Amino acid sequence: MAGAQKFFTIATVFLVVAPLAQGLFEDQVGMWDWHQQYVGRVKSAVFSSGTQKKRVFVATEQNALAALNLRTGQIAWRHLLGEGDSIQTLESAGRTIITISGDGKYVRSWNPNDGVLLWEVAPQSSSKEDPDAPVDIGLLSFDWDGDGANDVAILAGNNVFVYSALSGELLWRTRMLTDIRIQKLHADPSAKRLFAAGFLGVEGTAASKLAILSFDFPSETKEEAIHKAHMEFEPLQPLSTKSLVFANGYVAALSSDGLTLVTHSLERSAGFEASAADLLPFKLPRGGRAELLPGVSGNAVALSTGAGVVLLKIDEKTGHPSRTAVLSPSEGGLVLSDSLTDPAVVAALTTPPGGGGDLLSAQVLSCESGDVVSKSESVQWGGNHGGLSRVFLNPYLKKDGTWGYRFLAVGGDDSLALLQQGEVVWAREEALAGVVGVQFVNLPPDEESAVKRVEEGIEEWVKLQLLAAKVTLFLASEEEQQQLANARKFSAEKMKVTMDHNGFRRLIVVLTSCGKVLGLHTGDGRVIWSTPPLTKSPQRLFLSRTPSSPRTPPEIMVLGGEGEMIWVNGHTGAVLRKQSLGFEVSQVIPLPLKDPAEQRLVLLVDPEGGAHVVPGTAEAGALFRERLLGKTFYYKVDKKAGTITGYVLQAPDSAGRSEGSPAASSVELWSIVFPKETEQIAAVFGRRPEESVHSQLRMLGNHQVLHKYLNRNTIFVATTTPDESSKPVDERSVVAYLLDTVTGRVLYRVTHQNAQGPVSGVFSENWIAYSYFNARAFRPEISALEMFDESHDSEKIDVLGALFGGSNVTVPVSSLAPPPIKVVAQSYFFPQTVKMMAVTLTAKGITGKQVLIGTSSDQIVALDRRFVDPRRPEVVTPQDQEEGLIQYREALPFLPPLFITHNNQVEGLRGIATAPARLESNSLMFAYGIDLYYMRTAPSKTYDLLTEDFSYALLVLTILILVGAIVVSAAIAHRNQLKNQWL
Amino acid sequence: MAAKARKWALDFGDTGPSSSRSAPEPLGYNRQHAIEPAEDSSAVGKKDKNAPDMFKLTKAWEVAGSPLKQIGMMAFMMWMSGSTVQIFSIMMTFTGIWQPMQAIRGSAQIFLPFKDARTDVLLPRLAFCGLQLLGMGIALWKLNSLGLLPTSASDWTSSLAVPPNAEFSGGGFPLS
Repeated sequence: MAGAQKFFTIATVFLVVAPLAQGLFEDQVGMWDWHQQYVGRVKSAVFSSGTQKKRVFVATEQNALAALNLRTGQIAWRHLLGEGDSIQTLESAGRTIITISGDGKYVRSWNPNDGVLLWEVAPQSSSKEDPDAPVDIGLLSFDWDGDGANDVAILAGNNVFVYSALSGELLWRTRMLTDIRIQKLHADPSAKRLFAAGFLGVEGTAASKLAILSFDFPSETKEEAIHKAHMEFEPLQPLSTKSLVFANGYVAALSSDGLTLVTHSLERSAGFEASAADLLPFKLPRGGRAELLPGVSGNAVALSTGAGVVLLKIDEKTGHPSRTAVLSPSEGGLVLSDSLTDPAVVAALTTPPGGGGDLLSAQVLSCESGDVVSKSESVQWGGNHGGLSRVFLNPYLKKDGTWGYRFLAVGGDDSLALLQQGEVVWAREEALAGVVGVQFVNLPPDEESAVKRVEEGIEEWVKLQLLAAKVTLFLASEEEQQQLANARKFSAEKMKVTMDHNGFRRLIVVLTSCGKVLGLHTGDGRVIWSTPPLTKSPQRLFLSRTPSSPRTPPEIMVLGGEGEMIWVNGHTGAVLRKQSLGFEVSQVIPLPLKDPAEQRLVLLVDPEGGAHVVPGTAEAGALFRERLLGKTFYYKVDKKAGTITGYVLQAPDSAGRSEGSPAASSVELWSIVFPKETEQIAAVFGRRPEESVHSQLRMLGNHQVLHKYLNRNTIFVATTTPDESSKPVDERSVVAYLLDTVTGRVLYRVTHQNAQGPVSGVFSENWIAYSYFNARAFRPEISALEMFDESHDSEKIDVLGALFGGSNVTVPVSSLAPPPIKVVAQSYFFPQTVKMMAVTLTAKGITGKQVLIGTSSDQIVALDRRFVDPRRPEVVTPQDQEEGLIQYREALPFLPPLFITHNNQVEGLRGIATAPARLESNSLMFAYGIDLYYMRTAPSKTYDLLTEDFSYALLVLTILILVGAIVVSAAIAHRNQLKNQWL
Repeated sequence: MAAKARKWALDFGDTGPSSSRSAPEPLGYNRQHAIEPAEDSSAVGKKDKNAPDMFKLTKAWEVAGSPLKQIGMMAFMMWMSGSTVQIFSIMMTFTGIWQPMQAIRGSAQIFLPFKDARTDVLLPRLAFCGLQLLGMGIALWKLNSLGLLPTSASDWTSSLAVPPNAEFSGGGFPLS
């Protein structure tokens, strides 16, 4: 019985969902969507060695660990570690890749071929002993436990551990003296010995003594490292804990003031101090200081100053450093590779002056002599990289027995390039892994005449149509089917860099965390233009100018720290102008106004409450004063203090009027203080200003109407219980508020008992959908709210008045004269934790909407808005059916066809941007994380568009056949008739 | 048959005084039948001329009543086609509206055969039109019940523009 009922329920849900789902046929994959995978900003890299597949393993600042194919640059495998689990050290131990992540919390070993996690250990069993303690990996040159693979030593939390590289079994650990702070490990390549170097008497970043420990691992004893040598050296100057390197049997460190280089032998008690200034061939700049380059270690030491880098060799016998090579930085700077390679060489990459950053010169220097071993001048690696930030060197033995060198260069824009034999083998635009802002921009119109366009495309089109007809009639071979699918996926029509009639071809302009702005084509996601990194701390991206003429390029404004503003041409990516306000911007308020030059007005509010109009022209200021002064409000959310404060902008005191003074000053109007003990602000969001709403009424099944409450100055605020994880379930709650931002009035308030954060949601038209976690049911929940204006009597709509403009329905609504509001609410269970929500946008707002739910598995579910409609009835009447209401169920559908990301994952999903196409039925969706994913959705199906696979050829063929049949049958009929008449 | 058949002959040479004209009467012409009605029967003949032809009238009324059957048929079909908006029910309903309109327009044609100077078909024609209108009314009612007639307020106010806001507000979390 129960089974039958369950089946019935499932069948009903399926029947309801089926028409709303976004299924996809196999040959439609990639027709409306594209998916790009990135790794992020590389901070360490190791190359595969020996007989392994040719790969480079990288760890990135986005917590990704990935293997890239050395020949193509494609991702072979990739893992994204969780938030707060950033990778500190990455080493290749022959058969495994070892990482230390999460401040020494986890040590993991990965299979280099397929990325499978082999083992994972947490060296520090208790809570972190010392959060700032350095971590390091020492690859031992011996196999202590005898399992056939060399073991690894791990430094974490001021303790040294030795693990079996194959099984992760703990073989040995130190009992460290607590006053020594170990910095680095170094395994003796020839003996069964491990060195650990660190400091004694650490105070902040300064230390009084250098300490060196050494451990022996005799083969006879498997339990205990026998020998424990301990050496200390106290130099005259206190040492800096920032830099310590092993070099050629010595430890090198630098004094806190950066003026003295200290070296100490690993074998015997022999310390040496040398003045850094003596080692430099040039004078130290005034007030400048030398630094030990942290990456460079092994056989050479690099001293860096503002004026150049000096490579030093430390004498094996005496420990005296001596200068071997001098490198002076050029325009784009100089980067050195880690020299822990065999043979002992170091790579130096520079951007030669005069190359405009497009050229790169690579040198390989011997650590021993400082001689240039290999040199390649002027490698073209494209512009807009913003200099160099890192380089990783990989020497390899060529077939003729000489050494060849590969360089993995990381640009200032996070881009990754593999250089080999004077050319770029591959490059990856890794800036796109850090998207922080998105805008959709129109492309320029097609300048070619319509006739020419048709002439050009007609041949391909006819070919494609014939092929399509063949496929429809099941006459095509598999090859031809593939050909058709490819032709559709990469059709020239789709890839054009011009505007199209339907508004599908657009530019997705993204601002990345490195300050670079790129324009991506919606057809396939390729980069159309890019800028060099524009600002150090990118904050917001705006469309500052949307001209009515499509020929005039739109303008994009990037807002950086300190009120830095950069305008970029939306068609070419050229930087148009820069301006700096010279103050920290606290609030950015784009205004619904355009100046005569079609520049959109933006208000920037400084921390003192002064509001500045951008562009700062007199006309713009006058326009603002005339239209909006005294009517403009803004609110500020202080998460820490738990307050939301509302302000009104008024004319500033005329006395202190001068150039650059604010156009308006803020006056505090209202303030809402949430009780700190029970509530903390978890989410604040409002409606998208660009959202267009078709109707202010909601039609019911009985032909009555409900008035939507569409006041734009409404926001949704959710609060959670502070420290919720430490509180019992029934003391946790999520409180949802609807606030008016002009008056600070609370329109609605609801408490969800036993609920906890994180809260995310979306506000569209007059409804809100938000998610939280039900701690009692142990399931995520989504709630929906819908606001209706109760002041109108739905029975008495003055139809004639409304039609002929005599009605008061279109009179501006004011928050100061609020109508009575009715809020309808409903809650549902959702099977996955919701990371974020977005909603589709269409040009006129007629088409239905889909709620796009980013799940914790980094996928996106497109749920028809009707499922989160709080008016879903328990029992569906025919009237409800007519209105399109779906029967209430406590669980929302979660079926594979609802995933608009299909089988892809947008790793590290951080945001979903939506924009309308010009065609009403379609909405564009762009999701970004470490990956990028673009998709075109049609929430109510493409009712105004023939599908891409519509076969015109078949239609023409059918018509031709019918016409032919008519002609033939008419002739036959005529003949028969004549024949009959003769009888 | 052969026994009943009579022989006949015509004498072209007979031009006797019996015929009033010089030419013989045409073949098969009987002067007696061609004689005009007698003077005494003229009163009756006049009365007959103005009286409606009962037979024609009956026929006309029959035609006028014919839509009744159609209406019954249509009502049944409409009931069968259900109350959901679909191609069949819409087609049914629109033919239900279209046909009476056509019929009313062509009603003059329909009643033409029964019309003459004596027979007045106005009444049956009106009745016919009335019945057709009744059929159309049923179809319209059906159309309304399908929800295709803009009769309620919601049909007229759906595209009312959204009122603008008197105040403008923005803001949010401060930029860090």
